[in-house]
Amino acid sequence: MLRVLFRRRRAFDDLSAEIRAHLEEKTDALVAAGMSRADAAVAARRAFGDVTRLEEAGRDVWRMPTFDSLTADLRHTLRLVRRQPGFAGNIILISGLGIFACATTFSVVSGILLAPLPFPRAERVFEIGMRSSEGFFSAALPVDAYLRIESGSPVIGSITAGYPNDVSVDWGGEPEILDGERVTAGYFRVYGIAPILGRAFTVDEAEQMAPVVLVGNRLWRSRFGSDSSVVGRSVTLNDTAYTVIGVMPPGFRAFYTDEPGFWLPTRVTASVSRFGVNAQVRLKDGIDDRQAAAWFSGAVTARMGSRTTRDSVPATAVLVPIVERVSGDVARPLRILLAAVLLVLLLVAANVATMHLARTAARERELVVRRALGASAFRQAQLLLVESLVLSTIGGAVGTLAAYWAVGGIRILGESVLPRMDAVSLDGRVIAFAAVATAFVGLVGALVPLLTARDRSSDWSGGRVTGTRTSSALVVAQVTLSVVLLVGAGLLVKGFMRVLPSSPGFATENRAAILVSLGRHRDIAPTDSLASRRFVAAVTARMRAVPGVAEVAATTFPPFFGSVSRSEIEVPGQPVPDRPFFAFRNVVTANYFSAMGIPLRQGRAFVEEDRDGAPRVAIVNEAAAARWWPNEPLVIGRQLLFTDEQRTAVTIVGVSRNTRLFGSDSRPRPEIYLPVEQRNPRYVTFIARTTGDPRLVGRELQRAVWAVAPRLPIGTVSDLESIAMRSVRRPRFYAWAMGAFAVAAVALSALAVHGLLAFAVARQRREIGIRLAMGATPRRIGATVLGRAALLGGVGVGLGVVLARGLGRFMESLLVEVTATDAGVFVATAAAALAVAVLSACAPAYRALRVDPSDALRND
Amino acid sequence: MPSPAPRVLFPGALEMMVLRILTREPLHGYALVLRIRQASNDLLQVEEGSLYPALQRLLKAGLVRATWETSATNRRVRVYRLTPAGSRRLAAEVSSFEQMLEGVSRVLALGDA
Repeated sequence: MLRVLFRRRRAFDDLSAEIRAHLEEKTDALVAAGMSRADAAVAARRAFGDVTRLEEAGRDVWRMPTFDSLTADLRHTLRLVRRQPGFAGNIILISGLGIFACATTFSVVSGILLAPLPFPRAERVFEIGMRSSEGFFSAALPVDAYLRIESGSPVIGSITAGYPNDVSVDWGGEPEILDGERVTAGYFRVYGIAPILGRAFTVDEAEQMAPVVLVGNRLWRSRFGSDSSVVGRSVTLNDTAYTVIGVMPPGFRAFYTDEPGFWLPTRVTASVSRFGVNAQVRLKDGIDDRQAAAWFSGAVTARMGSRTTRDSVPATAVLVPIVERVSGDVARPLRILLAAVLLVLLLVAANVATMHLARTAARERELVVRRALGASAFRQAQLLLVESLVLSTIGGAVGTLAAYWAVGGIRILGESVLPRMDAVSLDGRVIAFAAVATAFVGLVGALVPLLTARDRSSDWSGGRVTGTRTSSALVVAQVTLSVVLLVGAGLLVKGFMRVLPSSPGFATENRAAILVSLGRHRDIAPTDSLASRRFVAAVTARMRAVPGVAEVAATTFPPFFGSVSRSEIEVPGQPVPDRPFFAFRNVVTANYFSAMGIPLRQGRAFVEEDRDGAPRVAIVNEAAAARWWPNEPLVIGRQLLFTDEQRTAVTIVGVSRNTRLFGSDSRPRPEIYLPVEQRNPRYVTFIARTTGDPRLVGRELQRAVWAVAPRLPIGTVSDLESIAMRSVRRPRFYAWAMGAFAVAAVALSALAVHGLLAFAVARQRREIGIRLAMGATPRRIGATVLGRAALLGGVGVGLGVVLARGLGRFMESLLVEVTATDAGVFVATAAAALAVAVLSACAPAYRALRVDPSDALRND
Repeated sequence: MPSPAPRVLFPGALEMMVLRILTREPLHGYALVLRIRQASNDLLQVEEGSLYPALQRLLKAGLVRATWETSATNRRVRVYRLTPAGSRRLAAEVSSFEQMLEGVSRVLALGDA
C-alpha cells in the first residue's frame, strides 16, 4: 500500500515537471522563430490546452477510487475527534480500557498456559502417576514399577525420577539450607537439556550417589559470581565435600515454581525411595501419547491404599502432561478470568455501539441530506465503518500501550503468586489478540447502527427516533453482562474474605518462625529423645533472651508450612469404622497455645507435669472432637489409641480451637497435639512472639540456635504474617482481577443507562414540554424516566441472575467455602446492579423535570 | 472524473499513434507532439496537452517506460520507450484497427457502382 502511494506521489511530481518542460521547450521554439518571450509563453499555453485540467486528467489515471474516499473518511474522522472530542474521547477511552483489560489478562494467560516450556519438545514429556480403581490419583510411582519401566518399555525414550532434597551449605561461616533436587542420570535426556558448563551426571555417579553436584544458574550467578572456573571446585553440602561438575542452563527448573540451587545425583531403590518416586518420561520418537497411555495402563499396575476401606485397591499408571504439573492448578482459574475479560470486551463493544447508535440517530438529518445529495448507501456505510474503526484503533493502541507497562509490573508482583511469570510478556500473540479485539469493537460499533438504520427512510421530520429499541436491547445486554461479572466477583470476594489471614485460627502478627532439623545435628542420635528435648529447652531459653522477643515456643509442624505428620488413630469403646480415623499430629511445648494465640475451648494446656513417667496426655482440636465424639459435648478424659505406634493410649486433657493447617484456604482437619516432654521431636520449628517487627530479630534467633549447636544448618527466619498472606495470594489475586472486571462492567452499564436516558430526554424535550404544559407534574416526568431505568435495569438484572446461575458451576473450582449459588451474593449483586441503574438515571430525570415548557416548545 | 477533452480522434487513437511512433525511437513529450504533427502532415491537430493523460494511461498499463534524460539541446526531458508489452499491444491494436478500417471503408464504398 505504501509503495503504491509512494509511486503515485512520484508520478504526480514527474507529470508536473514534464508539463513545465514541454511549455518551456515550446516557448523557446517560438522565441527562436522570432516571437517575443511574453507572446511565446501565452501561445505555448494556448496550444497546450488547459494545463490544470490536463494535469488533473493525467493524475486521475492513477487514482484509486475506494482508497481515496477512504482517506477522505479518515480525514473526516480525525476532524470529528477535534470537533466532537467528547464523543470521540469517550469511545477511545472505553475501547482503550476494554483492550487494556483484554491484552493484560491475555498476556498473563498466554505466558503461563500457551508459551512453550523452557525445554525442547516439552509436549513429549509426561509425568507418570497412578490412578486407583476408585478414581484417586497419586503422583507416587512404586519403585518396582519404576525399575520395570526403566529396564525396558517400547513407548518411552528416557525416564527419570527425582525428589526435592534440601541441602545445607556451609559457605565457611553461617550455614544455610537451600533447595536441592535429587535426580537420576536420565534427567537430562528426559528434559533434553545439558549443563551450560561442565557435564551431566553419569549413570555410575547416579547409582553410587557420588558426591558430585550441578549448580543452578541463579545460584551460580549470585553465589559464585558467574565464575566459569567453578567446575571442579569443592563445596560442603550436608557436611560432605561435593565436587561441582557443572552449571545448569539459565531459567531451567523443570516443573518447579522456584529454581533449585543444587542438583544432586540419585539412584532409585526401595531403600532410597520408600514411598515411591516421582517419575517423568520422554516418549520414544514415533509413539504418540495415546499409544503410550495404552501401554502404561496395561503394563504398569500396582495396588494403592483405599480411601474408603482398609484394603488396597488396584491402580494403573497414567500419563500426565508435564505442563499440567507446571501450571495445571492455575489453568482453570486463568481460563475463567479470560472468559470474564471477554465478557468485559463484549460489554465494551455493546457500549461503544450504543454511543455510535445514539450519534447516528442524532445526525440522522445529516445522513439523510448526504443520501439526498447522492451519497450511495455503500459510501455511508464506509464512512461509519471508518469512523468506528479509527476510534477503536486509537483506543486499542492506547490500551495496548498501557498493557505493555502493566505487564511489566505484573511480572514482578505476580512472581510469588503464579507460576511461569518469566514467560509473561506482551508478545506478538498478545498484540494479535488485541488487534482482533480492537477490530471486533470497531466492527460492532459500526454494524449495529448500520443494521438498525437499514430501513431508515427519509422521514427524519416524522419524529420517530429510530434505533431506540436496539439501544434499549443493548443497554439491557450490558446490565446483564455486568450482573454476571458482579456475581462472579461477589462469590470470589466472599470466598476470599472467609480465608483472610484474620481467620487462620492463630495469631500471625509479630510471630517469627525458624525451622531446625535435628537430623542434621551431629551429636544427637535419632533415638535420643532426652538430648532432643534438652536441645529444644536450651534454644528456647537462648531465644527468649534476645531483646524484642516476648515468648518462645516450639512445635514439630507449624500450620501453613506445608509439612505435616499424619497418624491413624482408634477411639476406644467405639467400633472400628470402615474408613480409619486419621489425625495430623503435632508435638509442641507447653506454652505453644499461648505463644500462637490458639485459645483452648475445653480443659487445659500442657503443663510441666506432663513429662516422662506421668500419664500420657494429648490435646485435640474441635474438628477432631466433633469427628470422633460427635455426640459428646465434653471430651476431656477420653482416650485415643495410636494404631501405628505400640498402640499407645493418650488421654485428652484439652480441646483447642481449629487452625487452618494447610493455609488460609484450607478446611480445618482433625489434629492431635502431644507434649514435647513425652515425645522425641526430630523437626522443630521455634515460634518467637516478638514485641516489634519479627524480621528484625531474625539474625539474632539464628545465632541463638548456633550458640547451642554451632554450625547447625538452619533455614531462614520467616514471619507468620507473610506466610499467611502467601497462602491467600491466589484467591486474593483472582478476587482482585474479577473485582476489577466487575467494577468496570458496572461502570460501563451505568454509563449506558445514563447515555440512553439522557439522549431520550434530549430528544423528547418537546414532548415533555407539551406534557408539562398539559398539566403533568415534574414529579411524574421524573418518575417516568426513573421508571424506564428501573425497567431496563430490572430486565437486565433478571437475565443476568439467570445467566450467572448457569455459569456459576464453572466457577466452583475457584471458590473457597462458598457455593456458586450463594443466595446472599446473588441478592446483594442484583440489588446493587438495580440501584446503579436507577441512580445513573437520576441526572437525566433531573434534566427532564427541569424542562421549561415554553422554552422547549419555542426552541425546537 | 472530469469529462475528457473534446476529441478529434476516436478513443485510443492517440495512444495507438504514440506507441507506433515510439517503435522507431524513444522520445519525450514535446518531440512526440512534433512527430505526430509531422507524420500526419499537419492533418491531425492534437491539443498538445492531451498527450499527457494518454502517456499516463500508457505508463500505468506498463506499455511504455519513462526515464528522465538530458536531450540534445541540453534540457531535462522525460523520455518514453516502448516496453515489450507495448509492442505486443500495438500489433494487436493495429490489426484490429485495420480490420475495422477495412469494414468501415467497404461500407462507405457501397452502392455507387
